[in-house]
Amino acid sequence: MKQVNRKWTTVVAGGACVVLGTALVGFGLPEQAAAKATHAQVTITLGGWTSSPVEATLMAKELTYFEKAYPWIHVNYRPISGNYEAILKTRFVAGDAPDVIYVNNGGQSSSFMKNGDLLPLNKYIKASHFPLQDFFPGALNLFRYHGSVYGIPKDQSPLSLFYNPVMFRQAGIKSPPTTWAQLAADAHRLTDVKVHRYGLINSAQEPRWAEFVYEAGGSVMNPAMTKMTLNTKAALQGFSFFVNLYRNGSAALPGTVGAPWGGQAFGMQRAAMTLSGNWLVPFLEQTYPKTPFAVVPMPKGPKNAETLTFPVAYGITRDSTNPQASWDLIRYLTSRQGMTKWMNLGLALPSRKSLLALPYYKQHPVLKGLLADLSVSVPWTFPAGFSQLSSTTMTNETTLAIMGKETPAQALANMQQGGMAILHSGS
Amino acid sequence: MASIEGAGSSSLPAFPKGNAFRRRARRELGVGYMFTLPSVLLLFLFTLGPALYSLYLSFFSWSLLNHMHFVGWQNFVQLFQMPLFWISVRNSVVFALVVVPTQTVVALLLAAILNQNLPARGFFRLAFFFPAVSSSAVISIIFMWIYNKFGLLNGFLSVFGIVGPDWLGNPSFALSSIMLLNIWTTSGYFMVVFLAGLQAIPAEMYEAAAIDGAGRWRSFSRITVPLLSPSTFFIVVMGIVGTLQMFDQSFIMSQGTGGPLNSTTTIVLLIYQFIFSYGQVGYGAAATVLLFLLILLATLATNWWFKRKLDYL
Amino acid sequence: MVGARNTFSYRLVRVIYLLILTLGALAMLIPFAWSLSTSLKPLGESMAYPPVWWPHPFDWSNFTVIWTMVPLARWFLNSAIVAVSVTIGNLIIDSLAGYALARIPFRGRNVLHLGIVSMLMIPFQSVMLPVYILLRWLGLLDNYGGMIVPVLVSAMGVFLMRQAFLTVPQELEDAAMIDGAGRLRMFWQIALPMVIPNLMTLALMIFMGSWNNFLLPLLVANRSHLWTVPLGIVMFQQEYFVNWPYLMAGSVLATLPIAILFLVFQRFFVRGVTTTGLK
Repeated sequence: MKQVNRKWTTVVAGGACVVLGTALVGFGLPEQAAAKATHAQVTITLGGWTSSPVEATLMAKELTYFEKAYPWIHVNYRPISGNYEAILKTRFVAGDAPDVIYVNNGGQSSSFMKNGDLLPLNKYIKASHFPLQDFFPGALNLFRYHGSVYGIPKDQSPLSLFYNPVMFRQAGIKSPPTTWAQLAADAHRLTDVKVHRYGLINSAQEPRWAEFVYEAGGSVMNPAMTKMTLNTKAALQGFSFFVNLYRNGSAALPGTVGAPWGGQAFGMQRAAMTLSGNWLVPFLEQTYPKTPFAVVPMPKGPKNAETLTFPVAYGITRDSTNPQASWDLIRYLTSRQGMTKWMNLGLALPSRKSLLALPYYKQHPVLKGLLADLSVSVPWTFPAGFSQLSSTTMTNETTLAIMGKETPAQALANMQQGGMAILHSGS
Repeated sequence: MASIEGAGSSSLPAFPKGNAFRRRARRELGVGYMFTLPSVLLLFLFTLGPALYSLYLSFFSWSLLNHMHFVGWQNFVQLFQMPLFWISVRNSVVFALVVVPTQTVVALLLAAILNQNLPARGFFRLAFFFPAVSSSAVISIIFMWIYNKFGLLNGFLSVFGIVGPDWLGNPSFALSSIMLLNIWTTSGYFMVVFLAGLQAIPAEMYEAAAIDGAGRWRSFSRITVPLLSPSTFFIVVMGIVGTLQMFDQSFIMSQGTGGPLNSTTTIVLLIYQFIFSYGQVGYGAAATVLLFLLILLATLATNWWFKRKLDYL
Repeated sequence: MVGARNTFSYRLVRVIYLLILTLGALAMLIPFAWSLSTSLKPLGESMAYPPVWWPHPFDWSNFTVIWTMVPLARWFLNSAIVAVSVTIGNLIIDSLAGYALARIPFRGRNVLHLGIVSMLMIPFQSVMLPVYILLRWLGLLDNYGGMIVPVLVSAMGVFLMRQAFLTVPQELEDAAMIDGAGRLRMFWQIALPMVIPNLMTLALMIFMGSWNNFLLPLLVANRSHLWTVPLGIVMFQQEYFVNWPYLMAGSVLATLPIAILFLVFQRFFVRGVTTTGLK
């Protein structure tokens, strides 16, 4: 429980810094005094979700760096627990959303932008000469709506293939799969139902099969997101490949081995492989330190080598009472230096191209596979109004196909139809 | 006698005649209102008012964050055409139809047994009652662990060579698992209610029946069950209201999704999702109105059925 | 009758009864025992299959970890503050209304009674959004008030108290009335002492209901230092990766106060339920 202790020490240390900072102002240090002269003390809140206690600790630490650089701004870090977007929404309704929030890919972010719950950032970007060229364009585009920028990507995590090298060695497989055919063959060989071990364990959610659709040359929606494109041969090929891994028994849903998600099944050594993002690395290191793992890029498909990536941005809510201080925080956290610090905590990968060469990644070669996937990844999102389709309908249709109650073609047709219905009703 | 109105107007205290009392009665009017005012105010603010507001909202399209606009009966029309809505109705109704009779019968049998002169009665009563006083949220989490593919339940079944499913992850078993949990939680509470009713039955009735040569089962079915009708009525109504409003367990155990394959989506969970996840407040409000009607109908039907049965006694 | 006690069939039936009760009691207690057992195992051992009942060695660290990892003590305090306030409020407000509905004749009484009882059919879950908006408007979000005020009255409680007051003999009040006692005094000095067991039931019912309430704190308390125990445990389960020994340690700690309360007040509990006026 070093982590916990560290959390409290950082909080205490952070508090001490603020106190010390204020004390220094009191003693009239020139620079701080100037700061005080032009800036009244302000407090802003930062809301986000945390994937683990570690992340909350690290964010608190990151914020102490910020408060040192901007001593007149105090940040209340208030991670939102439970269903992040549902709670965030109730706070929008109540008019007391945090000043700065994490803006997720997909989910309800599109609705937040469309409904004006987030402030357009163009004015601030311009005023502070904040260059955007360094950000991955795809990631940045996720947070644009009608030409305005509503979020600055803080980080992203692509999906890559985690595998257990010991299991591979024991099964006599020399190297991790690089093609679909190898993936299927290896998964089959590594499956041993008697000991409840499966080649691949992933949930039935759409970001676990969509990358196969892209690798087959298909897509889920057209780039403008005005049409569903699951009615193509390529989409069927990709989706069928995913479903067939389950149908022939070499892949399984996490519940089959008593795990709530694929990463934990992998940690429990019930899965030889799982498709996951960066967040699995710290989880494995902390919770399942005895599980050996390595990460390689997503195996190549018949047409492309592609995967999905999940960028997350910082945005300012319309409820913010201090958008300027909020922007200062965002600008700090997403600047090269700020992001470098965040990246050195190892939770996610950069949303800035120039940070791919960080020394940190040389010291942590395990991230190489994930980094390699960044250049071939599709930023994952859905337009406004799709949250029910993506959170429920698509998972259900995929589950039905995996259970053999529907053919993959039927499942895709139902998703296609469901998506088109939403698009028609919206326009 | 067993209706929800209880003793109703027939038990109005008879007022002695006379001027002093009449003056008093006039003053009483104010006192009556004053005594009930806090309850009425709070219930209006936090139950009836919001319910009426829900009714109002059911005629609007609103995502919580945009401007609401009037759509007439459109939400109801859409709801009736929505397979998911009917799935949730089916889940809730099936849940109530299984849980209410089962928990009532289990509670009645346990109470009847416990009412015998057996050793350790106090212990048994405590043991059966305890789940009812524990937090539904905490119990849900404990049962998620027990229902795990490699959990206690499957470990127990494997002794008999049965390979158990992933109870909460399998659409065929998830709702039944929550039913079992619910029966487990509430049976003990209702057992205690039955025990109260049982103790009110005079022992002479059983003795008389025994003299007439009635066996155990006969005196149970001819004396115990009919005389317990008021308790049974209370338990059934509480059961119906409770099961049709079930939310915590399915919300926690499905992580808010109502999955797998919507098999644990109850009406209330769907309402929660409409409002907070899908941004369709109008649908949620319309479903609320329909749920209210469903509970009302079920309660009235129970009332009618019990009344009819009691008339035959 | 005495002769019948010694027959074989009488004894057999008793054994069968005891067997049923024992199996039932086991079924009721095993889940709690299992959570205790799991809470004392390291993560690896907890996942052993087939399940192992006896942890070896006993690993108490899950408790210390969860105690430091999340502010459990604070959550307990919150639960207690909320549950006690709600209970006191209900005792006063419910019995006042119950008394009026049972004892004081006034115009609209029956309509009022029916109206209050019908509130039982409106699930909180379905009015949560308007309630949320209202609480925001009243400035009751993110504080104890929001978790207390909406549940200060319970339609069930009013109903139960009315039933209880109906059993108080009218003659007692008539006598007091002739002595010129006011309603409040009659309520306080005559009627209320007669229904103490019912008040006890109500108190326990409301306390448990409030202690175990999940949805209202979920809506009201955004900040983790205001969470109640059940909410905190569920949040812990949903927020972080599933670690069963931690979760079970939390569940054991959350159940413990209720278990103690239950054992201490068991007589009142059971007597309370048995004397509830289910007329």
